[in-house]
Amino acid sequence: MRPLVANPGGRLNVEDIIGREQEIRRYWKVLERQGLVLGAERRLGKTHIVWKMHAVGRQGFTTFYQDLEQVHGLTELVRALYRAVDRQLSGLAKAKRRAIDAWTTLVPKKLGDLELPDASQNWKFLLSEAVKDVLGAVDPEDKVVLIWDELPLMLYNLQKHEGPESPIQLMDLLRSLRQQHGERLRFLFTGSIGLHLVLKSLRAAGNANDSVNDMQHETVPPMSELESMELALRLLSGLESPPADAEQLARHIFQALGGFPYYIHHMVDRLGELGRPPTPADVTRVADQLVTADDDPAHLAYYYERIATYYGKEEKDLALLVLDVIAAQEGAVPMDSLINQVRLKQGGLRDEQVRELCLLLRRDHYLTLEKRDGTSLHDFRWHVVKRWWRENRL
Amino acid sequence: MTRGLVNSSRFSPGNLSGEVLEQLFVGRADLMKQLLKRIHLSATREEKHYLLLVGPRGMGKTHFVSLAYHKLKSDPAYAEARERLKIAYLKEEEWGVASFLDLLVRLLQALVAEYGNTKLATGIEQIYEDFKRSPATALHRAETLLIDYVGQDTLLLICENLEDLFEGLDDEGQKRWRAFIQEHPFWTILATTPALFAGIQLQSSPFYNFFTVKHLERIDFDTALELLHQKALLDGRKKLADFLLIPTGRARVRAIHHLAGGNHRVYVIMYDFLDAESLEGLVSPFMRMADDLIPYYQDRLRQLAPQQRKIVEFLCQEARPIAVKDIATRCLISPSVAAKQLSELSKIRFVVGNKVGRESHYELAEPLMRICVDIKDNRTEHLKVFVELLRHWYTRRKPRAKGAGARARHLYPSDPESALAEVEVLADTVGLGAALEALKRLLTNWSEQMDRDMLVDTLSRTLQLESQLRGAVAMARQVSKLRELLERHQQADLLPPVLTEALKAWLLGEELANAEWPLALPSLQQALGDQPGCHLPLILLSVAVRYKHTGDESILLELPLEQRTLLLEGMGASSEQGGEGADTE
Repeated sequence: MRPLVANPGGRLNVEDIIGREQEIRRYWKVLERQGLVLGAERRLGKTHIVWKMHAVGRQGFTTFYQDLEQVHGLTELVRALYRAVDRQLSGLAKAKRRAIDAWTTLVPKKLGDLELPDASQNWKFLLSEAVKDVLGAVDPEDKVVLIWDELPLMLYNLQKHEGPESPIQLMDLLRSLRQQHGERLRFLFTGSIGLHLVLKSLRAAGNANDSVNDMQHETVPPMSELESMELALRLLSGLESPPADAEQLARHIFQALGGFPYYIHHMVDRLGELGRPPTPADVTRVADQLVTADDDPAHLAYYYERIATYYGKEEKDLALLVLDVIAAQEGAVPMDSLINQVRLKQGGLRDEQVRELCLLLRRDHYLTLEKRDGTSLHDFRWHVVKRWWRENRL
Repeated sequence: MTRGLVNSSRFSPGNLSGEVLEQLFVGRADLMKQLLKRIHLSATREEKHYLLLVGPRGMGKTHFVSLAYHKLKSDPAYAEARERLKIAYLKEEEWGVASFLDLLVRLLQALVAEYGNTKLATGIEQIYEDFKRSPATALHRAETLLIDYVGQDTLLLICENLEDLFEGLDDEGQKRWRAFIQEHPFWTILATTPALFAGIQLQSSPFYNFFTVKHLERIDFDTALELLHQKALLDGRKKLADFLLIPTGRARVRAIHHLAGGNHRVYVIMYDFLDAESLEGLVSPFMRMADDLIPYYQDRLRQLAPQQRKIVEFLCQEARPIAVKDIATRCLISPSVAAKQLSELSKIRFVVGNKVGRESHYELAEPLMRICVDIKDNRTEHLKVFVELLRHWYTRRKPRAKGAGARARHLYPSDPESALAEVEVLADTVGLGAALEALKRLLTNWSEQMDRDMLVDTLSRTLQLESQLRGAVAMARQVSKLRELLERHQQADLLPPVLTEALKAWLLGEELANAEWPLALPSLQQALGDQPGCHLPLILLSVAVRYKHTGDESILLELPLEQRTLLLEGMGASSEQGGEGADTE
């Protein structure tokens, strides 16, 4: 087991991306038949997962990776797509790309007295052509997977720069392209902002369609205990002063933080600053600092702030109530008990209101659902967020 | 990139040679090793580390990255990394970056400066030409130029004042940069910033938790001493270097330490003072240093929101930790707004909170800022008073010669030292009242020949003996007589050092926990409260007594940070304390 050097926030070697094999297998299975929308909190490792998929690959697939937060216009998207596949393009297609590059960037838009057509008005055609060229550049036996990281951020950029119509029309076009090239074209969208939240705001602006209901939606789960322990062990063995009982400490780390890989890296990085072998007390102290420090180093207050930003007033009040109730309990809370406790604080609530709210909170990654002996139980998805909530809200 | 040979430029470590940087680098070897290891891994493997050093101005960030650069360029231990790195070292203040394209151009220019590649230089010119036709084309060329130049190597970007860079990039520029890093993973970064900022802390920011953050902590006394010692050696001042290793020299550094607050740069600035005959002249160099720092602090204040600025200015005036609700009242804002603003100020290390029970008390994180603001506003009294206290605190008193005490028992005091011994013996055996009688005779006969340090030492010990043997109340009752006596002989200026010496001794033991002390304080206050130079030692004594009797840490928060650390050091609560008699002049 090769030791690892803690690297919170950084880029890992592909072979050092621990675990996630189960998730990756499932995602490839989905991509065999349809596109995939992958959601998760920031720093959970979803980009590393798609990088691993891209680097390792899979028989019958050709993948292209793009980070779309840089895209601020539709013609820019076209150019970015061509650049991502540039190596694969034939000579003819490359020439075409260069022409499109020129057309979409040159100013002014006149040649003598002749008005050149505005590229921005023809972006649909250009994007469709780009997709066709991408499909043409790849082995016809292969499915093409366009991994579009941070898609919701791009939609936000487009909305900000070009108005709500642009992202709405883009999503509609992408859906139409998926239908047109359904045999071979796949999209893998990832996002930190929930895509559903961005689409919700676009719907509010007038788009009634659900443009991604043909794609499978998955949420990147926490790492399993086994995977988290392996990560912690490899990081602890990379310390200058490793602990006496690494396995005990790795378990302690998992119990304190759950399977959130970024925080496991962060924890071991902090332990490395001690200059001596760390102990379970050190782990507790670092975990405590994450949730109680005045300056909120992990910005866990974001989970509270986000409710105010994205939820309507009534939803917000109920959401806070539900989260407060669950945070106050050790472990997961059965649904019936949750409804009763919430109703104690806010009378007149219907069961259905609480259930719907829990569904929303699960989609937004606040809560996770567990089934035990036929009973549904809810708990915070992230132990560290639950701790923050308990320390700072209650 | 060549660096000048200017020795020990106190503001521009970037101008120092590698050897000088190495010699003056103290206390952070482990951190340097850690970060260079990560850069080495980034160069030689697929993994990439993004490192951010955080520390207020003067903490040594520029020194650190300059030395890191030097080691990567020349240390044999990093030869393998060196082969595979392309280093772009951006200037300390990279003003004028207003877009991602700007950043790329400056980066490329830094690479040209480092490696002298003419093809790259020509390519940069072409970017300007492209820009005339289309910004997007220029951006594409800049990106392609960088990708082609780096090739299979790793790009190490060293840049300072990351927050300023982010501000220039704005949201769009940051997103473009991050996406570029994600799509072209040849980057490793070593950056610095004075404080954490929204651009890397907020979940909604593109670079949220992107960097591995390392805080440059304030240097402790031993590290400061080592720094000054090395600087003296570097400057060829062997006498000074040797001086710093003896108790007197260490005492001088301790005095500076309480004002410097662990700020790397302040020690270097105050270095010139170390040669002075005594601690007398500490105020002037400190005020000159404050002149240098005032524009920096004013600039930092200007960047704050109006409510935050109001809070910081209020805390500058108060000079001690204040509860949130009191800050709110005095700043005419609601408590919830005050709490929020203080939380923001805490994140950017303007203020630091002290939790007492459930309540947080806030004070400025850098006492130096408060002192500079005071000086700017012509409020220098606080600094002068504190420096006066430091002078007495760290001045070593000459002990009496051995045997003087024995002689005094048998002879009428026939020399000053014996006379002093007589005073102390009487204090020990009879009481302070009798000792004062002997003191009267001493001052009448020997006042001109008296060694003042010895007199201070003796008088301080008599107070200690009185409080120890007959109680604090009895001692306090005699202090006004002591004052009268000294005033009669124009020696009242001895009272501050006498009181300070006694205070140091009382702090070290458990005597202040004795039940009499709270009763003694009012008498002492009455006797000495209006004596110049005694006010601050009395305050420290009062705080110490109340703290010892209640164990309530909030009492300590009545003191500003620099006084609190001095008091804790005196009580042996600090790890930097010396033993009795050590580290005094």
